[in-house]
Amino acid sequence: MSAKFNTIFNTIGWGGFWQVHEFSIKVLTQEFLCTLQLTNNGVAFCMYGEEYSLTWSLLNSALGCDHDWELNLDLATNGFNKDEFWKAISGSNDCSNPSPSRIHNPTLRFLHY
Amino acid sequence: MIVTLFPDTRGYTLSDDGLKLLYAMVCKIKVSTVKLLINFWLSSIEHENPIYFTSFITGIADTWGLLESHTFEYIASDRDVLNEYFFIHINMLKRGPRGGLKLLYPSHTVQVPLPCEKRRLYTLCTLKPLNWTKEQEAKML
Repeated sequence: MSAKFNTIFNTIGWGGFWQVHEFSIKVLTQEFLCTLQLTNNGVAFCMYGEEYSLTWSLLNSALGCDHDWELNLDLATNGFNKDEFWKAISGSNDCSNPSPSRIHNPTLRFLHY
Repeated sequence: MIVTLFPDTRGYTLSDDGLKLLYAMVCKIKVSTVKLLINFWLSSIEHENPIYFTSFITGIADTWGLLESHTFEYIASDRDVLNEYFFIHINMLKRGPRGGLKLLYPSHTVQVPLPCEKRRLYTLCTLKPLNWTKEQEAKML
């Protein structure tokens, strides 16, 4: 399954993103989250007392995503039709409360988690 | 996605964004989750939810070389790991009599042996639903 995930994540540009190897640092996390704010073209935050301002593209790269992929999920998936897609992956006509346990394809079902 | 990107969301129901990300995977659309992540992080602070996405923040610091020039103490608690035990615990997997893994569907007798080559995501008929009968489908509702 991990090999399949690698294929899928590499395909959509998440190759360096989905496996997070770094350990956690409490103080750093607290400072980052307490100072995190949206800017016109990205985010601003503090780390170790220094102010940083990153564009979405730079933040994308910092998180390990390919830097030039579409940042807007709605634009990227403009052909998405919820009813049709849910029918395709679950066989169900009712997408009012889509449960992952109803996804038939094993890989997609695991991907949800 | 739930454990890595949006921890602490329950995962019992797929969100619209979650469905769109699965759609992107199926259609091989290259998309970034960075805006979704930042919005999720900001909402976690706003609602004072537990913070599980700490490693991403360490990753950002590491990218800018901040870990080399500062001293710090790592959080010692173990990470959540998605493994066979987890999926067996939530009744999604079980071991068959011969030791093979089987994928289970709630309220349904169909079991899919894993790995299932013909249902790999990027093969033909990948999304074709399993062949439920109408009665079986009704049991799943």
